Amino acid sequence: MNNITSSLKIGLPLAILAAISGLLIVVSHLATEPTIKAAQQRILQESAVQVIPQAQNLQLICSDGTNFKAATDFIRDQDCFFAGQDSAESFNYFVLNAQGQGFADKIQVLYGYDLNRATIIGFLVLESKETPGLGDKIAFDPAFLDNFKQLATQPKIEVVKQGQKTAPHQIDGITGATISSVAIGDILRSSVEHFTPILQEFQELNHGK
Amino acid sequence: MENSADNFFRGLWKENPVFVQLLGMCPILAVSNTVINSLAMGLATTFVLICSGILISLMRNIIPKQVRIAAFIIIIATFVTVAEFILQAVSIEIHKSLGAFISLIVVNCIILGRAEAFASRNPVFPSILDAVGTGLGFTFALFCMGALREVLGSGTFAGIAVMPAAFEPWIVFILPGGGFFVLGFLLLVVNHINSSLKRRAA
Repeated sequence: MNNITSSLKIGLPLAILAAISGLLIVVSHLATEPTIKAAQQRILQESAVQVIPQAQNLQLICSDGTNFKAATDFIRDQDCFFAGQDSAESFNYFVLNAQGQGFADKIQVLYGYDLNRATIIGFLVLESKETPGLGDKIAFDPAFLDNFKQLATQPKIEVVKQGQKTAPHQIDGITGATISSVAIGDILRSSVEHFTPILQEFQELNHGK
Repeated sequence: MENSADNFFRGLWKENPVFVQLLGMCPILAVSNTVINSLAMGLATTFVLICSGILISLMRNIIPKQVRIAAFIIIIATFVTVAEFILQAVSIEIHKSLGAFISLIVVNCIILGRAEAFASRNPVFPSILDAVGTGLGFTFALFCMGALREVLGSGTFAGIAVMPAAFEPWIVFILPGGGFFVLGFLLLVVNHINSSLKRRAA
């Protein structure tokens, strides 16, 4: 009997405490969730517009493999992309989210893709933890970013040493950030390969709409 | 009244958690590479210190002695989660740049230390003063680190360029090694000030 009362004396305050903390967490989550969601969508939308400023009516589309549906946020396990119209109102501009392993951690990028010309026309690093002063240049080095104003994806994206770019499908790397620049090439190449058939299907379905 | 002031100023300078007690070194070295990050981290920690101080002080007579540390951790973890939600709502960018270090406030020994040494033994009002003083002391230390590291390492202060265009940023200062240099330098300065104050008083 004594044992039970002493256990209760310890357990009860802890249970009350757990209930209070649960309540606090739920209340603060409910209070902040709409603001956080809205901010995430705003950032994503702004970044997409920044990648292809000339695209009209950019909207987020997700595909579950059979259907394309408009979405408000990236859906896990689905292929999501921003689709935008060119001046002829055909869905030709796409903003894609891609990620892959960099030197330090995952690198996440957004890039703009002109499907008809199979060319990357915009690029933005969303997240990277690459070494400050070296690898992190992939996000802001002007010479490196120039690569993505017009980057052909055929026959295939290739990363070359700084200053040795000769063909439109080559990326001029950054000296001192070889692994990070090669990682960007790999991320873009595999993402383009994966998305091209999906985007072509989407374009055909929406032809003339 | 004198006691209240003492509770407040103790954490701010005399027993500054960073410069005197050398606690919370992990966030001090890891997130002090810019002024904005430092301030956000400092304020988030202060928020957790104050809220957990209040709750622990209110519950100090109910929490059984045997499980007090576990109870403190639950309370601290709760407010860290709340702080994380709030920071995300205020600025996703800052939340992103602080990464895992916001969640790691849970294991910041400054907070558990103040809970065990002060809030669990004192009424609410002194606990608040103690928490505010300690929190501001921690924020002040982070701010000094962040300001020095950002100005020297990036040539900017809170993102605004302050160094002449010819200045070549010393990148080492925003790398981990620079954190140790700046911390060592600041400890030297603080110890020098404190010992000359003591000499003058003697």
